Amino acid sequence: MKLLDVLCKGREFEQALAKNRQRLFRIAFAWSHNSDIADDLVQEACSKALRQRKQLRDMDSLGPWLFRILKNTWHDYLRCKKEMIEYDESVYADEQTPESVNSRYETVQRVRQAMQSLPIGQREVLTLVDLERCSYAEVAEILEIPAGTVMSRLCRARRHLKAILLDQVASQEGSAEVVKLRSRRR
Amino acid sequence: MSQNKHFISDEELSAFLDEQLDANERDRILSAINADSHVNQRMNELRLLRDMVQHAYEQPPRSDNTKHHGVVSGNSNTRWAMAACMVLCFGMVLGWFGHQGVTTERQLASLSDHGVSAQLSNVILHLTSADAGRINASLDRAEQVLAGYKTNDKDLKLEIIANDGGLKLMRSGEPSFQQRIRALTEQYPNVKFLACAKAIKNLQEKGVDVDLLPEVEVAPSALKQIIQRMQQDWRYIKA
Repeated sequence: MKLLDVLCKGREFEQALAKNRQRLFRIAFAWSHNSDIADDLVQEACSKALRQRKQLRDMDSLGPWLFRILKNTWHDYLRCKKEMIEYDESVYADEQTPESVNSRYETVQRVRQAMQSLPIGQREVLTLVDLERCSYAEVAEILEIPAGTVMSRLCRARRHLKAILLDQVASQEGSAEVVKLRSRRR
Repeated sequence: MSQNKHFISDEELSAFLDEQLDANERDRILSAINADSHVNQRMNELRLLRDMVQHAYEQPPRSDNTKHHGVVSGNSNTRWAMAACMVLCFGMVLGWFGHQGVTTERQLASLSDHGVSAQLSNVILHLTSADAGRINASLDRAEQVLAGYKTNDKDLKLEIIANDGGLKLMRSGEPSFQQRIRALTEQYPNVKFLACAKAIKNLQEKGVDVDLLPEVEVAPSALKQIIQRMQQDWRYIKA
């Protein structure tokens, strides 16, 4: 019976891990802005999770636990690359691709570039709150920082994004230009 | 004016947006949002930013990474280009705001229930869904709001702007919507229907003929129109 329990629990863990893989990838991509690196980070984090699964006592806290492993893996990577302070922002240097003519693609890229310009600590907090809808307490636990730091980083990140994404657009736009295509028929 | 009385810090507004406050704090900030157009605008900007961030990472590009070990990535130019192509494919399908966001029902309901007596605020309603039930529910509420303001002889401007699936509302060939739009514009001169030019262009590039209803005007970009209106203290509501 015990063996059966162990097997079932192992299977449950692996299934839960597989279910969370996409969430992990999204956050890893939002942190690194490189799909290959994100994929590697997730792969590494999942391997660590499998090795350390006995440390997880409650399956309900699997999500924050996985994100904490992902964060540690990400920080290890940054340390290796010595990019903790000055992260390489050249990923988007060659943006003249055919798809860049697509306006929605451009808009997505604009937001991603703005996110990439955030300091890493702010980017981590903002993505966990906005993309994963984590509570401030969960973010504090995942990133191992005080809750007050979570709030201050979040506010600074949002101010920064607002300045880039909203204020600049509004000032460039001038008055709202609404073009009338057809005259009204009554 | 009431700036001091209703002063709300950025931290408090963020916590409100992220549902991190207790009931008393939420009440206090809700009151400030209703009473102070500046606070209301800041709140709307935060919501819009969150929508933008969520959309930007809704479909991250898949990696073509096959080595599946280690963390360090090698030369990834080719893989990055392939991932970017995947983004294009997803991007063509997804609309800029094609995701669940701020609940129209709740916000419009609060406008129709309390808005008439509270501070006057013009509204821009953003439609992205092609779901007929959702469009009709939004129009029902919008009509209630307009009727309420008209009854109370208040002046409210309402712009209903559509992109992505929401364009369904504004195209010819949808008789039920056509009649509704015509009736609304005839009855309420303060309501305006706008279609996003970029969304129209995207459809046309896919070979879709976009024939708008005569009551519908075209805005160069839904996003820019929304930002512009928010800068002018309009209330932004997303369907």
